[in-house]
Amino acid sequence: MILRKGSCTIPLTINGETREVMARPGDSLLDVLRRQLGLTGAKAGCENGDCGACTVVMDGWPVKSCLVLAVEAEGHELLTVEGLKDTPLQQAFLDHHAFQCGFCTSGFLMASHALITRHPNADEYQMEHWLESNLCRCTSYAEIREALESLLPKAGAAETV
Amino acid sequence: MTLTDLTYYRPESLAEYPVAIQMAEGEPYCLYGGGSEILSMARVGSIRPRALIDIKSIPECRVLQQKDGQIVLGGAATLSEIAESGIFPLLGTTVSRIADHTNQCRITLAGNVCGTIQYREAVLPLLLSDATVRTFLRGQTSDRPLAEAFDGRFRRAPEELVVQFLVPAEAAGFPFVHVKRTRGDKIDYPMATIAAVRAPEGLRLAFSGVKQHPFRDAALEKIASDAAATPSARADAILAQLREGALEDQAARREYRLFVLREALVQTLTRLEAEA
Repeated sequence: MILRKGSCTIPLTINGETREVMARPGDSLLDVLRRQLGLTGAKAGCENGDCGACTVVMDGWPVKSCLVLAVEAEGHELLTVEGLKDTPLQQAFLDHHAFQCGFCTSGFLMASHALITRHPNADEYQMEHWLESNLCRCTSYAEIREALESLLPKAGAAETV
Repeated sequence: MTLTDLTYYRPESLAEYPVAIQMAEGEPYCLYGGGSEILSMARVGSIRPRALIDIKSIPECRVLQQKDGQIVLGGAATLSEIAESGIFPLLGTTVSRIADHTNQCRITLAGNVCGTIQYREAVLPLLLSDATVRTFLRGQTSDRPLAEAFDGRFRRAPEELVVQFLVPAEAAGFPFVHVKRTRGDKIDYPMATIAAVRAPEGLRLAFSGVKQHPFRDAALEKIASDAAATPSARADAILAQLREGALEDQAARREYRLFVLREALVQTLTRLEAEA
């Protein structure tokens, strides 16, 4: 049984490294990533699980880190946008100008990365289903779609409805 | 932050679960699955738990398998895991329309069925398939029909853990239709959700968003199964039964909700018959 009370040291596996953080059981993963580890790629947007700007990948699944407790992440593999280095996905976002202000971009990247990793042959429906979790207030949706379609041939081949 | 002075317990077996309960006793605690509802409610001060008992590491609660003619669905399986497993197509389709995809990667089956948000759409396929719920209380595992435990809300003792839902494999294979109508956006609470299957003895229907709580009604199923009547006539007859008690809220006035429901019913009945 894992029991955490008060401020305690927690090992977290992030981007392939084990890092120790001081956290209380009520601290969100988002807060710990940003304030303690300096991993500010995950953004604090709505902090209510609506916008997706704080999305990170946990054990291969996208999760909104504002709705995950840091203590829950112990024993799981975390990936943040800082762990995505020189990936075709990032290049695709650059090539297709898939951002404007960039605040939502890391969340879109992480949701997209999880999708491509789990479903390299995802179709249009799957792509929309996964990315509907993220909001872009600059409305770069068309460019984000194009970037992702360039990496998901099956999705790109489908007719947009 | 969100929760202060909190103690976090993560039992890693059913045997450890009562130990966690005992340690947390005397303080307001929550059984913690995906956490989206608990954290959201704590953030606005609706609840103030002093302890969380995270049940996701109990292996029995994570099972997704078919065994001995039954589909076994762990209470802590996430909606995404269920949908991607393909183990129960109607349930997969239904849970794919609850919240958004990333939240589906966290929301658990038991969390949705036992949650405070009134729609609890994941329960619809379970009701339609005459599922059994397996719970764990005071060191004992017991089974009971879901229809007995769920009367719009899931009735359980505070420390009673929903371990699994058991679905007859045959029922999970019935032809089905799922229709969800929202006020506007695709991701929203339902104005009306219908889950329906064509069982050997006739049609089965369950609803969410229509009344205060989700329900399945044998009288409505009898009307729906009357193949001598047209889908429109059957939809009107069902609506006549539902008019009283139909929900009126900020999503829709009663008349509009019933109008939307009628269209959804006609579509459901027509599609189920086309498949036949």
